[in-house]
Amino acid sequence: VIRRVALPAAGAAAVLAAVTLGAAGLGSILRPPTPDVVLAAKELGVLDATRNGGALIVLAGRRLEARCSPDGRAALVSFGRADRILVRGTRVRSRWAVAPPLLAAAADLSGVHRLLAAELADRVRSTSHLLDGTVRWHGRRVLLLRIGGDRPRVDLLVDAATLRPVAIRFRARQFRGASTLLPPRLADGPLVDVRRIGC
Amino acid sequence: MLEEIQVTTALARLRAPAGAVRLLAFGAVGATGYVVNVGVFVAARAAGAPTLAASTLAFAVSAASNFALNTRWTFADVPRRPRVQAPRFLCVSLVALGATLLAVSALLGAGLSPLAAQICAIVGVTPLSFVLNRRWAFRPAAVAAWAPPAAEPLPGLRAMVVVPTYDEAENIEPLLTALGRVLGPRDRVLVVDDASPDGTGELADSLARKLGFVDVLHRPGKDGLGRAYVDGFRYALQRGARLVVEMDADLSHRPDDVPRLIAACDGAALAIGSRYVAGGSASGLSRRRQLLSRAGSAYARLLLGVRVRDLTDGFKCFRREALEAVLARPLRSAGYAFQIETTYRVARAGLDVVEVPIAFADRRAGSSKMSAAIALEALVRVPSLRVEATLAALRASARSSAWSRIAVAWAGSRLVVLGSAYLAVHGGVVHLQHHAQTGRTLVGPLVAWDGRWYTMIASRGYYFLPGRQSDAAFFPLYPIALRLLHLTGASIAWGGVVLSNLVLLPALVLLYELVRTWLPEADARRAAIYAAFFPLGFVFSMLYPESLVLALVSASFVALVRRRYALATIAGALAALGRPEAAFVVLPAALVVRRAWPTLAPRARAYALAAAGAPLAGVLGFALYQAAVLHAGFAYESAQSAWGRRFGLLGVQRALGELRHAGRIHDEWLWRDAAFLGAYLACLVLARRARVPWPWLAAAALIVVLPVESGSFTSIGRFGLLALPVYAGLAYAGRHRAVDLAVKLASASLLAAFTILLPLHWP
Repeated sequence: VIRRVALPAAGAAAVLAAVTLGAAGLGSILRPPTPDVVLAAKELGVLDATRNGGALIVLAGRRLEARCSPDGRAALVSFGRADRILVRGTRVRSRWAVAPPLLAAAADLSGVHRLLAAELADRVRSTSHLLDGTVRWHGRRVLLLRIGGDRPRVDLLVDAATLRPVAIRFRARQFRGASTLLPPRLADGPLVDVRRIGC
Repeated sequence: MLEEIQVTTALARLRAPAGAVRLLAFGAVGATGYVVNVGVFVAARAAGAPTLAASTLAFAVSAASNFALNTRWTFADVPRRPRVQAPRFLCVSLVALGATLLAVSALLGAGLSPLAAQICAIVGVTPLSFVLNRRWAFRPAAVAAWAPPAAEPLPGLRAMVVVPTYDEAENIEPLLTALGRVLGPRDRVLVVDDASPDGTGELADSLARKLGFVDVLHRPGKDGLGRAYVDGFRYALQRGARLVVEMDADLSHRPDDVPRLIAACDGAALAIGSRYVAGGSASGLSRRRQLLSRAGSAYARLLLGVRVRDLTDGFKCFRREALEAVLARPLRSAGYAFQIETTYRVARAGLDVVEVPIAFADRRAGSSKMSAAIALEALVRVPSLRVEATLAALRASARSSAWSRIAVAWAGSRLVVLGSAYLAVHGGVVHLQHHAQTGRTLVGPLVAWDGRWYTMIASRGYYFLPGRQSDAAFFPLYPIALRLLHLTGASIAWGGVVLSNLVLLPALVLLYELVRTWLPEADARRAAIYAAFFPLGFVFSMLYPESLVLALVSASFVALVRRRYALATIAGALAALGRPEAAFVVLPAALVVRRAWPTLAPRARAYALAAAGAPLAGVLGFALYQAAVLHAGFAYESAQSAWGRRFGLLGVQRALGELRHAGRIHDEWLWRDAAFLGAYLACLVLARRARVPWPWLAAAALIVVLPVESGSFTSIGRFGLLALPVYAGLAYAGRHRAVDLAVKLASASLLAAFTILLPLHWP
C-alpha cells in the first residue's frame, strides 16, 4: 500500500505544493499595491468601524454646526432646526434651499463615514495617488488623504496614529469649506442605543 | 612533421582565443565598440550633425571597428573573407541592436533603471550575437563547402563505430587498441577528424595502416560535433554497416561497453548508453557538469516528452533503419543538442529506444569541448525541435483537414464579431448608453465591463477594499498576460483584444481534440465550429480571459488523457489562475487518473495525481498570493460578496426574485442569461445522450448552476462558455443536417446581434 498509494500521494503532494508556490509566485509579475492603497484600505476599515457625531463647518464664509444620526441605511444630517439632508450612499436629498454644489459640499463636510468611505473607494479605483502628505493640525500629526475625484478637491485629514478622521477640507472653483469632525455624543446616559449615535 | 604542426597551432592559439575566452574576447570587442559609438556620436553632434545622422554614423563606425577587431582577434583562426563576412556581421549587428532595444524597453517597463536595463540587455544579447557570428558570419569557408567523399561498400560489415576527434592525439591510440580487443571480425571503426591541430588525424592514419580495422575521414576544419557525426554516419551507411555506434574519443565511454550496446540493438532500433538508469554511473565529472548534464536531460525530457533518462550523452548504437530515419531530413544541431535531436527523431519515428547502463568516466587527457555557446545552442534548439516535430506531424496528419475547417470557422466568426463591433461603434448604437465607458474605437466595446478591471490590474496591480467592489474578484492570469504584452510596448487594450482573438484559434483546436476523446471526429469538429460561432462568443474577442482559459482547460485535459502529466499540470494550474470555473476540471481529471491508475508506475502515479489536482493548486496559489500581498487570503470571496454574489440556501429564491423584477430595474439581460441557463441544461442532457463522461457533465452543471445559488442569473451566459460538454451536446444534436444548419444560422445571427447590442448592457 505504501509503494502503490502512499508514496505516489506524497509525491503528488510535493508537486502540488511546488505548483501552488509557483502559481503564487506568478502573481509577482503584477505590481504590488502601493503604500497609498494599503493606507486607504486601512482607512476604510476605520471608517467602517467608527461613526461621526457631527461637524463644525465653515462653508463659503458661513458657519454651521452639523449633527449626524442614522436613519435606516442612510444618514440624517441636521444643520439647525429646519435644515436637514439625507445621505444615502453617495446620493444626497434635501428640501434645504441651497445650490446643489453647496449641498454636496455640506454633505462631504458633515463627515458621514459611509459617504467618506464611498468617495475614498472611488478614489482608489481611479488612481493610486491618495496621500497628499502629513501636516500638523491642532498639535497632532495628521495625514492628508484625497478622496473622490479631482474636482472639487476633497481632503480628509486623519489622525496619523489612529487613522480616525478629524477634519475635512473642500475646495471647489467658486467656494471653499472646512470642517472639524466631532465624536458621537454619549451624554444621554448608559441606556442609550449605540446604533442611534452618529453616522 | 607532427612537431611542426603543434608549434604552428600554439602560435595560432596565442592569437585566437577559444571557448569561453572567445566569448569574453567578443564581449571586450563589443565594449570598445560601445566606446567608439559614444565618441563618434558626441563628435558628430558637436560638429552640428542631426541626432539621427550622428547616431547612424556612430553605429556604422563602431560596427566597422568591431568587425576589424573580431576579424583580427576574436576569430583570428578563421580565414578572412571580408566580402562575405562583413555583410553577415552587419546583419547580425542589426539583429543584436533590435534585440537590445526590445529588451531595454521591456526592462524599463518592468521598472529597472535605464542603466540597469541597458546592462541586463547587453549581457543577455551578447551571447546570442556571439553564437550568430560564430556559426554564420565567421564560419570557415572550407568547412562550409566541404562534402565527404563517397565510401566503397564493404560486404558483410556488421557494425561501424564512429569516433569524431579534435585534438585527441593522447587518447586515440589507447581507444583504438581497446576497441580492437572487443570488436568482432565484421566490425570496423571510423575516425572522423576535424583537422586536429595536434595531429590526431595523421596519428589515426598511421594506426589505421597498422591495425587494419580502422577507417579515417579527414574533414577540413572544426565544424561542430553534430556535422562530424553526420558525415561519419553517412560514410558508415555507404560502407553498408547494419549497426552504427557513436562514441566519444576521450575514453569517457568505455570500449568494453560497446558489445553490450550492440547486443541491445537486437531488440531495439536505438540503444543508448545511459548514466542515469539503475546500474549506470558518471564519475570524475565536476558537480557543475553533472548538474548541467542532468538539468539538460530533464529540460529536454520535459519539453520533448521523450521517456529517456540520459538524453545528452553520445554513446549510442543505431540500427540502420533508425539512422536512416534520423538522416531523412537535415539535422540542424551542431553541438551537444545533436544528441538530443537524434534520439528525439528515432522516438518520433515510433522506433524502440532502450537504455543500457554504462559507467561514464571523465576524460583522462585532453580538454573538454563543452562551451557556453554549445550550452546555449542546446537551450534554444530543444523547444524548436518540439515545434518542428509538431508542425511536421500536423502536416502529415489527417487532422489537418479538420483543423483547417476550424481555422476557417475561427476566422469567419471573428469577422462577424469585429464587423459587428465596428457597426456598434459607427452605427450610432454606442451613443445610446455607456459611450463614456466604451469609447468610439473599434476595440471600445470589446474592452468594456470587466475589461476595465483587467486593465486596471494589469497596469497597477491588485488592490483590495474589504466589503467593497474591488479587483480582488478577478483572477490573475489574464492581467499577467496583459502586463507581459504591455511590457513589449503594446497597449493593454489592443494587446488584450489581439491576444484573446488569436488564442481562440488554438483554443478551438484543443476543444476539438478534447471532444474527440468523447465523441466521433465529425462531432468534435462540429463542436469546435459551434463554439466559434456561439451566440455569446463575442466574449472570446473581448478583454476577457475566456479564450485563454478555454485553451488551457482543453490542453490540460487532452494532455492528461495522453499521459503528458507535466503539461497537464502546468496547463491545469494556469487555467485555474485564469477563471475559477477551471477548478471543476478536477472531477473528470480524477476519473481519467483512476482509470489509468492500475497501469501506471508509482512515479507516474504521483505525476498523474498532481496533474489532476493542479487546478486546485492554481486556485490555492491565487489565495496564497492574495494572503501575501493583500493580507487577505479570502479577498476573492469577500470581493465577490461585494459584487452581490453570496452563496446561501436561499440563493435560487433571491435569483428568481431578481429575475421577476428585471424589467423594473432595467436589467433585461437577466432574461437572456436565464434563457441561456435553460439552453445549457438542455445541451447537457443531449451531451449525456451522446455519452459524454458523467464527471464532465457534473463539472459543466456546476459551472452553470452554481452561480444561481449565489443569488443571481447575471453573467451565467458567459460562465457557461467554459462548460465544454455544452458544445458536445450541441454537436450531437447537429448530427441531423437540418439541425446543424439551423444551429449555425441562429448562432451566427445571434452572435452578430449580441455584439452590436454589447455596449448597451452587461455581457
